[in-house]
Amino acid sequence: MQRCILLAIFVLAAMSATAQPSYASVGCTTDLANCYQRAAGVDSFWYRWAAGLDCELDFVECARIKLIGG
Amino acid sequence: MSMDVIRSIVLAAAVAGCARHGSPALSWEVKFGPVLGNELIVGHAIAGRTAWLTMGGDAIIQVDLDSARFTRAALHPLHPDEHVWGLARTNAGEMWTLIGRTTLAQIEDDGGIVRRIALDEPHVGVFGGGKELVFQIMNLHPPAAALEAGPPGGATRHSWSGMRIRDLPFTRGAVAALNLVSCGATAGAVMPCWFPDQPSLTLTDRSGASRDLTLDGLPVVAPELLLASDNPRRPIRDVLVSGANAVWVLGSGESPAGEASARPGGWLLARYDLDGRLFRRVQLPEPARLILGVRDDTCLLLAWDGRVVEVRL
Repeated sequence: MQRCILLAIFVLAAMSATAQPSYASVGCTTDLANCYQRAAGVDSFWYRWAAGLDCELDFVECARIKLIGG
Repeated sequence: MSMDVIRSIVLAAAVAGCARHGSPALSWEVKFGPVLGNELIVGHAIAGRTAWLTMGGDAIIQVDLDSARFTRAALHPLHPDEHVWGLARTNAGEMWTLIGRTTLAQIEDDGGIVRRIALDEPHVGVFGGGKELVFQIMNLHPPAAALEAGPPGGATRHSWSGMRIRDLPFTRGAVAALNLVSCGATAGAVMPCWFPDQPSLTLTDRSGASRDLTLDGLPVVAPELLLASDNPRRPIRDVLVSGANAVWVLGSGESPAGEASARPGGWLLARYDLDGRLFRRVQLPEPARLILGVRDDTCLLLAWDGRVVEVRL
């Protein structure tokens, strides 16, 4: 049950990031959603939390290429 | 000669003079290159008439602007899952980059990695700040200082500049992405840094004191659109402050009608003074990726295809 709730939270968080029109950056955002889904499957609470944080770091690094890459 | 004819001549001369003043022809002279291909640039540093670029393919390119020579070297040694981001050059001539999130590495012109320093926290940016390095740490909890400075291996760092990461109405990852800082090169008294969605700069002097400078004539881009696009229109793509304290700005601008977005770079080049007064703003005939150097009223740009081009403004 707890895992389902966490999965729902992660997916909702990812969905809210994609709620803007015409999200062409599906690469980064889809990766984030997939990563959240994988993180939600981690058994340990702390490892699950850390995995979720890693997902956000991955997203920032992905977006960094488009936002400030030359 | 009748008065009508004289009036016509005077009017034509006035119109021609106005036209020249409003839209003088832009010089666009290819100097040499291409120095790189269609590849991602992840950092650059400039000292005098030499520019260094770090590439997404884990290489470093050195470009001598006066002799029109350039070299390329693979960064080594690197593990297969290690990749570089950023490039900072100190006054002492040391060059530093990030390897992954938590390793700072000193690199040489030949691509050799000669020193690695483990970092306590994930970092997303490193810039040259004179004697020190300027760092951006990944911070998912705004508002907070955006940048801090310190020696490469030093444990003591201090906040640098007044830039603060902003609390924005998006998810945590999106907010962190929109708070990523870019800093341009400087030969002047201040170092220019900016957020990806803002048409303004934060100018920071050697003491770390800073002030914000809004730049006229640059588009305001909605953050959600910036995140949404594969090739986002960035208000500011690169900035160089010259020794005479002229602020040269390369922005995405508007591509010509019908122009496909396949060519990377920005179409807008503008020159301001340190008070934000616009000296001139031009539409480039081809997009440019970086400002490599400035001398008086001429600017060397890295064009979309890797050629080095001189533009007079």
